[in-house]
Amino acid sequence: MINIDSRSSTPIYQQIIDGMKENILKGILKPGDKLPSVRELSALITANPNTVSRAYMELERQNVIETIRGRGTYVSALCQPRMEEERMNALKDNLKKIIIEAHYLGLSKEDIINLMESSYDFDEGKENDDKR
Amino acid sequence: MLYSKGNGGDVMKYFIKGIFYKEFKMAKWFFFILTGELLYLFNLSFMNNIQFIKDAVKKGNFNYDNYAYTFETLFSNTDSSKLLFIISIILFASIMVGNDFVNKKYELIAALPYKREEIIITKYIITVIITVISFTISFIAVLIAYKNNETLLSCYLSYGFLYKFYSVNLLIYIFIITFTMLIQTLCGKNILGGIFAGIFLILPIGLSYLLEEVFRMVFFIKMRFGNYDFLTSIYNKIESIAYYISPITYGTDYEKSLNYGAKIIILIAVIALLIYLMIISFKILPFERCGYISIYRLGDIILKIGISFCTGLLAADILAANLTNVFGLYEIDKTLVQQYVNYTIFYSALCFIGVGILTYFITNKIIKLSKS
Amino acid sequence: MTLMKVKKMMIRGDNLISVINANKSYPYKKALSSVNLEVEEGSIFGLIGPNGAGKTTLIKCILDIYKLDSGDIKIGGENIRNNPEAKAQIGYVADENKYFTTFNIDEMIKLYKMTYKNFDMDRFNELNRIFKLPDDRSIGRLSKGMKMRLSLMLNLSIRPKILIMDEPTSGLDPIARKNLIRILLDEVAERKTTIFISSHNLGELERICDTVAIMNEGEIKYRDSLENMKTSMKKVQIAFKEEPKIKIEEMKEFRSVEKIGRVYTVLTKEFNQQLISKLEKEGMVFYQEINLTLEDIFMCCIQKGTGVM
Repeated sequence: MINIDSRSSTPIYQQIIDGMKENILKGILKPGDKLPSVRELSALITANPNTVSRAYMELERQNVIETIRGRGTYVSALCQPRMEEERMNALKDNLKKIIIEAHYLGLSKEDIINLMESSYDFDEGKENDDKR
Repeated sequence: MLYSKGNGGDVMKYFIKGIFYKEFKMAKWFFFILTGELLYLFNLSFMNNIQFIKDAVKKGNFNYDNYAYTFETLFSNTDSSKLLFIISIILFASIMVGNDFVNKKYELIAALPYKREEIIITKYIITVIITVISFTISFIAVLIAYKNNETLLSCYLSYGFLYKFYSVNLLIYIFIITFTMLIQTLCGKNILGGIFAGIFLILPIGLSYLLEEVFRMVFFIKMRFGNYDFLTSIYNKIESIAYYISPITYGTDYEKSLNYGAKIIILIAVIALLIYLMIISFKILPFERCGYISIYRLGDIILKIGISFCTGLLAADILAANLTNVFGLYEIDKTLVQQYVNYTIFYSALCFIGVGILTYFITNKIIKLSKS
Repeated sequence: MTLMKVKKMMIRGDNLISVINANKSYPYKKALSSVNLEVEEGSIFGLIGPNGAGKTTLIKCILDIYKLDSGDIKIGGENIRNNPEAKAQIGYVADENKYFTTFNIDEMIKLYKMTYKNFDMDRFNELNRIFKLPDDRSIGRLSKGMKMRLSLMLNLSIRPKILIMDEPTSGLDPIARKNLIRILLDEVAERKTTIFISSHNLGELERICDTVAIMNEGEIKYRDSLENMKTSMKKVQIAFKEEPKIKIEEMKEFRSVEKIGRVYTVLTKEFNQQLISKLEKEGMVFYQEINLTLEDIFMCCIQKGTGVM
């Protein structure tokens, strides 16, 4: 459900927040879905309950989730995932990784730009192929 | 404050605690051992002697003198039944404290919610009560046997004597227990503390014998060719001092050293003092030193010097006794005596120093090894 | 000091465990050197350090097994010295669990029941369903792992406010280790138990601890929440076109420097534009921030010898 990387530089509570948002984005969690309690989630992902509790509080502050007394915690019905921003960040990360890889392969900035442009051509070509 | 049993709380609360349960689990075996020893070795002998007297009376050849010393020796602490009992209670007391030194069990106990005082007082109370009950059972049996044969035994024993016997010896045993537990809190090894306690208990007497030998050599000429009295008076003085300061001897003869009343008072006072010291000693015990032969550095020094001194003295005494025979100091001519006495003293002194130094280094090494 | 009073102090969320200027020396070694430590209630606190750093000594002093030469140790504001009410709130699972070997499990339970008022037999049975202690029930026959499990079960059943564990996962197989972690997390979630663990298993601690302290040579070299640690310190890989003129190893901005080929891996708290510019002047062509782990901080503290804070 949510993967925690304890070795990452991102604090765990942030990873939980991001993980939750990602699940909502992907549609794994829909508005109105019941979330596991702090205790349940901490057991599930093997994380400190204090950390989980903090993540939940932050998610609630951001109106991503809401707690109904006596009933539990649910994905906020009003939740409007900021799709663009999350995916944008993921894209940026991936791009950066590719650039580093290219750099190690010995490509200069120009080479990389050329590669990109040829990718565009290739893509357009492929699109045309598909359309046939 | 001499000591407080739970800060002014009642004694009963000691009995419902887990620590009591834990200590009693071990102590209950000693109850059977102690009671068994007394009944089998002491009471049985007593009954047998009564039977012998009865038989003699029946046969018509009862002679007072035959049994004159029987009861005196039986009731003294040098009788084998009592000696075994004393050794057993020394072991009992030292194991009660020392057993938890093994495998650092004290570390677990220290983390439990008990005050340090509670722990040592519980151990102490259990040990004393079990010993008291054992001895009391044995005594009641004696009392009953005496009552049933009062006519026969009244020439040897009396109720007064028996009550004195009970009270003095009871206090002596409590003294031994308290002393042993105190010494065991200074020694980090199970049972070894008991051995040291046993040695310290008879040390005054033992030392007095060793010193008497020294005096014999020093005053040899005077003794052989002069009068004994001078030497005898020295011996007696040394011995009586030794007997005064060794409460363990108080039960041997009821009127020899001090009178009964003085003994009781001294015993009670000493016991009270030792209880206080024992509690303090346990309170400050550093548990990281479990397993050391001596917990405190001062104990190391005392052990090294004490053992070296006594062993050296013992060796020198044995040598002196042998040389007395070898040189024939009691037989040779007056003109030669001084010379050979000097030789004897010289070699004995050499032996004292040599054995002393050797023992010192050996003891030092052993103490160091115990700390690794 | 009544139990009620101690409990009230603890509920306030104060620092539950306070070690204040603790010093302890052995004849040939200074085991604790001006140690200051605070543990907040309801947190999971990790104490790490190489062997011989003084972790076990510190723990034993906190529990009043060993006495400090100077300094204080307070539990809920009350000094722990000879204080049974405070000790009743603490469960202790040692690294070596040498029990009264003449006892069997039932007798140990009885001992704990008589010693701790709050002993909960239901909780013990609940835990036994997970740990499944063997039925033969005599302690001498238990393995090291089983002894540890028994100790854990007993100490959790007393419903402690604080659970102190010394190297709990050494000697446990992976399944048991996982069970242990689950149970600990559950304790914190359900009962807000404060957990103090000393361990070599950095990976585990990194995952579950709120706060971590690194100890070496009797001193606390580093103490902070894991979150602060990860946000304040950065691990960066830097590559230069050619050997830089300035000695990277000696730059004071860097807490630790490792070099492989022309790539330096550094730990720093001050990775800002200023530093980047400075490095670019020296010919830096590439930098990338990579994952900072607890192990990195640990190595840095131990090797450098001085504090990282």
